[in-house]
Amino acid sequence: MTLAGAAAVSATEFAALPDALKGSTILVVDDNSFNRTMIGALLGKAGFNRLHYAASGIEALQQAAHLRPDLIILDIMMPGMDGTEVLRRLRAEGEERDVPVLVQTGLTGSRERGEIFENGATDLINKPINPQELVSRVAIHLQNRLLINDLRAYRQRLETELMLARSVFEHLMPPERVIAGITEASGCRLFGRTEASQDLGGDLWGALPLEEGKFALFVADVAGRGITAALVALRLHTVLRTVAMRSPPGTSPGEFLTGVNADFAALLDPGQYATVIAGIYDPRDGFFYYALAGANAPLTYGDAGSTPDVLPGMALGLAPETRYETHRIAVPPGGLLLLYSNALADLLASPAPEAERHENGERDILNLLASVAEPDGHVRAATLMERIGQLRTHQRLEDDLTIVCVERPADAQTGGPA
Amino acid sequence: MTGAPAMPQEEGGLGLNYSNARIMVVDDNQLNITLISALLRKSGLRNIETAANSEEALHRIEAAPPDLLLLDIMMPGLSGFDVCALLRKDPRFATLPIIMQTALNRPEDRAHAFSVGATDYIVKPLNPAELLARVRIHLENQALIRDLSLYRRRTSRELEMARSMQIRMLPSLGERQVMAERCGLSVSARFEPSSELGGDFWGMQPLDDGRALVYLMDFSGHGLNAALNTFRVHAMLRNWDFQGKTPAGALSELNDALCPLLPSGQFATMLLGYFDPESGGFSYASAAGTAPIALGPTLKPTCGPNAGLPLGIVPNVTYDDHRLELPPGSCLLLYSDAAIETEVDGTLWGEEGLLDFTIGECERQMALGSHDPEEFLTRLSRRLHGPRAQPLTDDLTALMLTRNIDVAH
Repeated sequence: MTLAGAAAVSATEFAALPDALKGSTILVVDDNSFNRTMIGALLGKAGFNRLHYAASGIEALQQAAHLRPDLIILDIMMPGMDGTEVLRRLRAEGEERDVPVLVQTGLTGSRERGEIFENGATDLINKPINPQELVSRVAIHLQNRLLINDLRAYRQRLETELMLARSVFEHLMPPERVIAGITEASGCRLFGRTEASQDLGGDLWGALPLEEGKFALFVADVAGRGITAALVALRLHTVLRTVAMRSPPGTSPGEFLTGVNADFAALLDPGQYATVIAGIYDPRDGFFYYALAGANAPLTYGDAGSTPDVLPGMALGLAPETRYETHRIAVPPGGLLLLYSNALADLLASPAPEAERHENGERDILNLLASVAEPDGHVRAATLMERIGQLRTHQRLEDDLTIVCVERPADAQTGGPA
Repeated sequence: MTGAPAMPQEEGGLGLNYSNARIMVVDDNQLNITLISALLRKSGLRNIETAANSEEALHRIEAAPPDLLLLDIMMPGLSGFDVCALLRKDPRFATLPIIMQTALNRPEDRAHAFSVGATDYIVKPLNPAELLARVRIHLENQALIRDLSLYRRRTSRELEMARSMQIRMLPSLGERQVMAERCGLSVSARFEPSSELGGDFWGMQPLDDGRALVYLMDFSGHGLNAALNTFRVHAMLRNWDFQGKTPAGALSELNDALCPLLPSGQFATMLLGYFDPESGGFSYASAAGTAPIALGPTLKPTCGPNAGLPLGIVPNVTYDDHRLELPPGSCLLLYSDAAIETEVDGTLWGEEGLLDFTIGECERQMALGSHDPEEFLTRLSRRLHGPRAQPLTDDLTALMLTRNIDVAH
């Protein structure tokens, strides 16, 4: 180092550097050894203790790949590979693309300075170097990088955890073989699908084969969204399973939901609840017997498509003593039975204000069914699901969406017991 | 994207669009204001506010904080240096990008600007490409930080709520008092997930036959996924019938119930026991749980056996019943793996380390004539975290059960 350089270094007092920045790896690139030494001495005095050096463009790239520095100070004018080329290559590479690069230059021309930024410089510092300015700029960039890395690490960790959790929830839904088994035993095609509005959702649906071709269905929509809703959904799923296992055959949907509600309510924290529809479809008489806990009544579409006039009832989990009644709805031969969570109505009616949506929800859904019906008047569940999928691509879900449909074959017997 | 560090693809959807960013330009020279505003507008930044002096600038910034500030230095009244220093004192503006734009170019001016907290410094006459590049870099950084911070805030809020839910699943103070009254067993507990949520779960209930049921479970893994299992098992155990069963029998049933629920690769370790106030015995079974430690004034410190297959791996497993005597006044320590698999003073603590610590602590308390399980558990936790309060890599749960001395039969 020259005497002038040494004097400059010793003359400068630096403000205290935060501890977190002191160990940052800094790579100083300059073909001039006095400059390297001077910059190193300044940074060292300021408190940085992990300094590395490169005397050429090629060495700079090698060092960058090897060290993964937190910041690079780069001289533009170097023989052989110059700083501009180094910059271009750094920005093209995978790993080091976003390392902050502070270019030092004596160039004053606006075009040249503009070009340096265009080539990917994060900052530009003039030569001869102003010690305070150098250290300040370096600290600012390192501070930013630290914060961003920290926030990114958090995001990555949580995204992984949420992704794993998501797959647990996906496994709660009926697997293909159960759905196929139900289709086979009942003669009806069953479709179900649920989509969370965030990483994790509070919607569930389930199907369980019963004796004599019958099968049970439920759709549940837990209040709220995200992780806490998903946890409540998990609790509900556990209770549904437990109660189903201890309920004797012949238990009505109303009795079933009453039992579930009692156990579920005992688990919850204040303010938590779910809207649920649970029922049994009997292919022998074509009726869907169900109980409602605050959910939308099921819809049918077919010869005599109807919306039953049934009160939604108390949501599940609010009052342990609630008793639920069993209702029934006829599914016409060749017709469709549809169970759904509120988000479907919202999806169809999105421009309308909130208050109107629920009133017109059923009408909108029936219109949707009509719009996808075949010439013979029947709705194929697959077509319906596809259409809903199309609507989904144009809109963000505000709430978790669940749809379950059952296609009753056209040649089925109608009416009640013989 | 000129002059900016390249952003990885994963952040493309975060809304790094900053053309709506609000820029404030402060300069006492109207011509400069016009020039700078025009430059910014041409580059696509439409939301530009201006102020002709410091007072006006501070007023407007307070009313509607900008995303970036271009600040002249030499102005009548407060200088740009003063404005910058004032803004940095306010936590709301601690990270606001402040770019000094000025004709002053002496080294001491630059140094001064940075010392009062300027983010950047650009000299007049302004180089348009340079000004735009610097503005763009700062706005992009801010947008990235803002989006990542938003994610963090939202997610950590959800996790906090989930954590409260998890804590509420554990026995309350009231339930523990009932246990003490009915069965003569006092339970102190420490529950420390290693991250926001944990995979540990414990419970207790007084049974009709007078016995006290206590159990401690540790689901494999940690974080959200381990925690999911605690919610499921809590829901399952709510109405579970533990009456008239041996510990081994109860564990076997639980194992059969858990097998279909746990995905392959996940399992749980568990210790389940019944304390009988009549006989003073604690009979228990272990599914790879940790060794319970019993000790007391009239009881030699004992580590009970704990071998057994973890729950959830295969059904139809037989467990072994064991028994520990708990004379009045003696204690039983139940704990999760973290209490023995943590490195203390550079070596793996193990059962020995925990046992030595427990004996030492109990002797210390006895010498002082006190019996304070809460203090024991606090000290245990502190010991595990070490002198530099290092976070633990696994969830820690520790229960201290004390057989009360004066129990009216």
